[in-house]
Parts: sequence; structure tokens; C-alpha cells
Amino acid sequence: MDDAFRLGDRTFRSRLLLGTGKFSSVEAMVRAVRASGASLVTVALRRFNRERPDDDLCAPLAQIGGVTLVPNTSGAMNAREAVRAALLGREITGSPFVKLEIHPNPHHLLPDPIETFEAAGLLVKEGFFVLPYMPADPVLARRLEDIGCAAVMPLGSAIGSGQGLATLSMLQVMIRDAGIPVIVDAGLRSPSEAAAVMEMGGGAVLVNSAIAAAENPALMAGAFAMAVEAGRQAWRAGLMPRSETAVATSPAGPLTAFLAGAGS
Amino acid sequence: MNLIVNGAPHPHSGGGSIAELLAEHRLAPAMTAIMINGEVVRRSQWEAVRLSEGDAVELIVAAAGG
Repeated sequence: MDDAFRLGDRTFRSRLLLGTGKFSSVEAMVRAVRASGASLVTVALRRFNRERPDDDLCAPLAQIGGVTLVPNTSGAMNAREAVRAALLGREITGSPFVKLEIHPNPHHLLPDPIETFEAAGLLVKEGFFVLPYMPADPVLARRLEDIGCAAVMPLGSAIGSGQGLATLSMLQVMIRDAGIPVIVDAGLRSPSEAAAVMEMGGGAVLVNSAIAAAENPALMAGAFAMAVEAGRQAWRAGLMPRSETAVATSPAGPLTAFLAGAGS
Repeated sequence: MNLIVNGAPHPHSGGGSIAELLAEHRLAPAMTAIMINGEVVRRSQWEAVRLSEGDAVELIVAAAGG
């Protein structure tokens, strides 16, 4: 597979990961997943609801084919709860991946770095490929890589905020230093932001709200897919160096003297 | 026997196997995770488990999430 996305012991075709939250219906979500071409799709966990027995997500997602589920630990307030959620998620999905997220404060949903680090260590020992949602902190990223995480997932900006790449300069440092994929998760609003992440060498992006809350989610999913692809190709191609001054692209000077008239 | 399932009382009429409990809830075993009294029960252990009076059981399924 050319330029496959390597994560854990697997390879994936797409570098766009999709979240399944906030869609108006399961059908709209499935259409968006198909249009996105995503290979990795996140799901959350909840108690079975006897009144709504049919709104289980696994069956419709399984029908899409080629999709690997990534259960998250959303709702966990600390490392202990996150480990429990991860174990439950593995039982349901059979997936070796877990999106580790511990964000106890509902006002900003920022990840708790200390609990996240502790849970990551425990889950790596349990054999998971751990994908921790984390602050855009290069030092923490290094520590999470050192204990065996399969990737790091720094936030672009607050979850669901659509504020884009507020953490851009820190993301650049993380991408430069990391030996594991940096998957920018949270806060993206437009495909151009996803392309920007990929152009600077990001491993992948995870998008949910920007697609689910679009007027046409499936169309937006396709737009993000193209942006991720374009950004990745641009990174592989190598961007031209930046110059402080203009650098002409057409002949100039004596070569174009004829424009001033004969003899000059 | 009386169980607490997902936080609510549940009169269980079977012999206390996980398969019976899932059938009572019309739940597909392949898409369900189970906790009993706070402990995650791995699928490989389901057959060996027998529920007891008063056990607190959590039946967990996948939900939409980012």
C-alpha cells in the first residue's frame, strides 16, 4: 500500500478519522462515513436502553466494510474509569485501538494530562494500541511515546468549538519531534485546516463536529477527505522554500528590453 | 432473582446465565459488554458466570461519539 497510514500493527488507506457523534440520524452518519472513506471510526459507550434497543451503532457501521472501530473512553473522569471504559470498548468492538480521553471539566473539555498519562501506561500494558487525546504539549507527547502509545492526538482547539488550529505552533513542534503519528483531533472546522495539518507532516486528522454539524454532512465528509489527501500529497512533494522577497518566475531585465521599443 | 441492571431493578426469571440475561433484553451478545459489580467480565468468561441475587449488572453498547 503506497503511503499507507501505519498505526499500531495495522496499515490504513485513509488519514481521515471520523467521529460518529452529533449526527442527526444513524443514516446520516453512515452516509458521511462512506463519503469520508475513513478507515478508522470512533464510537463511544453507553448503557443499553430498553426503550431504544435499535439505536446500536455497531451493526450499521459493520455493514460499511473496511472500517475499524476505535472505541473512546469519553465520560471517564480519571485513569481508573478510563481503563474500565477501554476494557468495555474492546469487549464490544473487538478492536485493539482505544481513543483514550479523560476530560473531567464539561466547560472546556480539556484533557487531564496526569490521568491520561497514567491510564495510557496501564492500557499499553493491557495490550491496547493507545491513542491518547491530549493537550498540544510536545513534552507530554514525548512521554506518551516513550511509554508505548501508538499515536498522540493533540487538540487543534477545544472539542466541538470549530476554532481551528489554535495550537498551531505547538503542533508543529510535536510533529517535528514525534516518532509516532500525530493525529490532530478536536476543534477543526474547515477542510483547509485539515489540509494544513497534513501539509506540515501530521499523521492524520480526526474530524467529527465539522462534518456532523455541516449543512450537508456527506458532502463535507468528501471535502475533508480530499483536503486530507491534498495536504498529504503536498507534504510528500515538499513545499518550496519561503522567501522574504519576490522571486520572478518570468524572464526579466535585458531579456525583456524589447518591450521598451527598438534600440533601447 | 432480583438483579440491578443498568441502575434499575430487574427481576430475572432464568438461571442466572449471561446468555439468559441478554436474551431477556433482546441484546446481541456480539455487540454487548458486561460489568458485574464493577468488574468487566470478558467474553471468554461469560459461560462460566452465574449471577447472584442482588448483583449489579451493567449492559454496555456502542453509542455515537467522537
